Amino acid sequence: MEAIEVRSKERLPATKTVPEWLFRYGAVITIVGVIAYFSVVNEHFFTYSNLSDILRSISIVTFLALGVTFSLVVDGFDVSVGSTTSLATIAAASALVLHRQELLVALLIPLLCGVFVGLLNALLIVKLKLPDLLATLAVMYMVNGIQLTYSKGYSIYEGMPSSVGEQTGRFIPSFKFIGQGELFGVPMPVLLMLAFVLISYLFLEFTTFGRRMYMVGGNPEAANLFGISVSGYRVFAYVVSGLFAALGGILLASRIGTGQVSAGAPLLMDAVASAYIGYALFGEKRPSVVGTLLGSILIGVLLNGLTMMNVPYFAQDIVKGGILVLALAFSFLRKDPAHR
Amino acid sequence: MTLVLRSIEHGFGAQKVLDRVTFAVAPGEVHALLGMNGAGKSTLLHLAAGVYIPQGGTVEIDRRPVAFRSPKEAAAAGIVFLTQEVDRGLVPSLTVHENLTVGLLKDERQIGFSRRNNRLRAREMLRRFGLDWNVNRPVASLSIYEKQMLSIVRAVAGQAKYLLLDEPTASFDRKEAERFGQLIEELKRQGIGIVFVSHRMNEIFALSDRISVLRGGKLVLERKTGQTTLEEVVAAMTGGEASIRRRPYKEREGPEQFAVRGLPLDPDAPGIDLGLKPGEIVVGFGLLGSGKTRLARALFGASKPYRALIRGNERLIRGTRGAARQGLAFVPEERGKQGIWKRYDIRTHLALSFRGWIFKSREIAYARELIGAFAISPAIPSYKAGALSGGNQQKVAIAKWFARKPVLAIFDEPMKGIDVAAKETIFQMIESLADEGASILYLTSEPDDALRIADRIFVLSRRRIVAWMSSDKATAELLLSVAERGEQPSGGN
Repeated sequence: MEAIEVRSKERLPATKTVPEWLFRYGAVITIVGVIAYFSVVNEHFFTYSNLSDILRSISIVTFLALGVTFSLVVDGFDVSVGSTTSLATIAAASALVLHRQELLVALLIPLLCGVFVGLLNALLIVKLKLPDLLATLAVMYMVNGIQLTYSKGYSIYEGMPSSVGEQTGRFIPSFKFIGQGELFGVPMPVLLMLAFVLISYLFLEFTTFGRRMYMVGGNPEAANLFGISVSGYRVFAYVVSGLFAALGGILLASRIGTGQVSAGAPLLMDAVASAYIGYALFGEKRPSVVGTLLGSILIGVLLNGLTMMNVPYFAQDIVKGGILVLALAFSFLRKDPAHR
Repeated sequence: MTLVLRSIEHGFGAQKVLDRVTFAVAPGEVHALLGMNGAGKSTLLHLAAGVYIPQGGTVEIDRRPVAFRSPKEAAAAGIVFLTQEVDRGLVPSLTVHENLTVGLLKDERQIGFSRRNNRLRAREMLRRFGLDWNVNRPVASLSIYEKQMLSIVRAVAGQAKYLLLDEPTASFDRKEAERFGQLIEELKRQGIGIVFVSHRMNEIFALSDRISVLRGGKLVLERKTGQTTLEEVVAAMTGGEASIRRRPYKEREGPEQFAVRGLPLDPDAPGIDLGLKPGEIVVGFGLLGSGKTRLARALFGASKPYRALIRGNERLIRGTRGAARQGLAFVPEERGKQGIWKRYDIRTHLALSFRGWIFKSREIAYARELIGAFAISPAIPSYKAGALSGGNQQKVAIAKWFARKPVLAIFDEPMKGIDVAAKETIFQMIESLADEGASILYLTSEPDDALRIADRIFVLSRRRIVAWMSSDKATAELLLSVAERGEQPSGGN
């Protein structure tokens, strides 16, 4: 804040402080404006049950978006999160239904899948030096293929037929509680989302470890010449990204109570859009956890509101794209005196 | 057909860089332009090539004033400027012959393109200068020497009448420099006027017809090459050294706290031996291409693992992280690209070595302390590093290491592009780091800076140490001549 004030005094005539301010909070104003608009247009919009619905609907996407955010922080990019979520969903369902495992195993196996995908991404990007987008794109296909091959293209559900007769495994109640339960009237997925958002926020903004991740992303060469292990932090970021995607997969399996094949694929684009809206938020061009959460909320609010207004779902992607452009334009049109 | 820059004046902001400088080059003449860094050589070349527009004075060709508004217009008048970055203007993914003819084809408005004819044409162009190359190689695979030669041949083929060469030979070895000399002779025969900037005195005396020396933006010497001597030229460049404040010389006591033996920089050169005592400032003096940056990066573990003796213990330094952990600090040459994070504030830089949770108030207090101690301006911890001036950026780049209490701090050309006022503060920063017990290795090509800060000086040439001297015995002339000759001064010379 201090720096902005000084800069605007020094470099900008007084009349230009208004657009500066607009650039900074443009995206936040948009969210508030959208919520206000829907509240006025539809009386059922601004109700506790609807708002809690919105939060529940974005909870899973937010996990994926957090993963993407971690990769953005080290100046990378992870598009394999959708596939990782699919793999984790299948892995959790398979552990429960096909192998009759307990809660702990049903959680551990998908998480290990996430770590594995993260390490694979890191191997391609850090060791083989492939461009991040292309490497994670390739991994996205591979992981999607793995979960399809494993499930032979069929969803995994309770009592599904198999060569040895009907499967007897169950989605145990403790597992279902993660995605369907409520605590103090708040849905579990929302609580989990808020908890992990808080943890990620504290980690990235208030620990020196998180700050070093930003430094790696901000200028890898300078980071290396300061003795910061650029590769180490990159590997870490992709593993965290894989873990968050796997958490999203567990939530998804628990919420729908089956292991849908390729269930994570449609979540990818919303997650990327959320992370990028967050990146542009506050005109900072800096990936951040709070930004990602707000981006995800913005998309959730829009979809919910538009559905209430009977806008067909296939037209909603147009609005999503428009919002992304708007958010990015706010941030990229802004002149950054520190980065000429 | 003479190119004349007549009483040129130019400056950046309040700083005057050129003061009524007149400089001419005739066809078939090689005119060497000399001066220390910051003397205004580069600015003069940029003005002649139309990159900058002179604030005073005129550029004339054949007594006719011309006003170039862009490098393109200068090139159309036959003036081609080849900078030190030889890669600029070459397309690395295309072959030699394609790069050679790209300008010609554009002028001829050719649409069809025969690879076979083009190869023949390119071979012919190169042969005219006695170069027998494989023209099918991609430019990316060429050495710096080959790229430099290619750029020159291409410029001449495009009807260049005047070539401005900025330190073309800086990284050439002996053989390459020889062939470069032959190329220059050939260009002279063809009636091309050449302005030639170099720090290698023997080359200048061998190749040039005339020598001009700039110092502090003024022309201080202009002579026919045959009528001057090395001593006169060097004296003109340095302008005596009465003005230089020196560090009081004192013999350091005690054991070395950092030492390496046989650190390899170059497969052909013997390894580097170094030993530094606590509080000692050792300067490595070397011209461009002598291996300064290579030495700095090697010591900081950025190239290969090596063994060093640190405070009596042998340590294997595997990488930059290991180097920092063993107490090494590094202030790299490319300040903006390698030394700071432009989008992060001063506080973040200074507190980079902190561990654990971030306590903003503690960090701001620490940042204020360092900002005050080194007069970083503006004195605002949340000011973005990218918005600072060059000198203040460098102060931040150095100060970010202070929390580490380094054993050895390596500085690679830290005064590049820094104004006089900030320079003195930075020297004092380096001295205060030494007073806290750090050993300092300061690498530079500026004799004045070397003499200002050094306890001991070694001279680096062609990636080997060729001489050691204590600072009270060193002079700017001695440093320059040792660095140019690439050998220890022998008694009587």
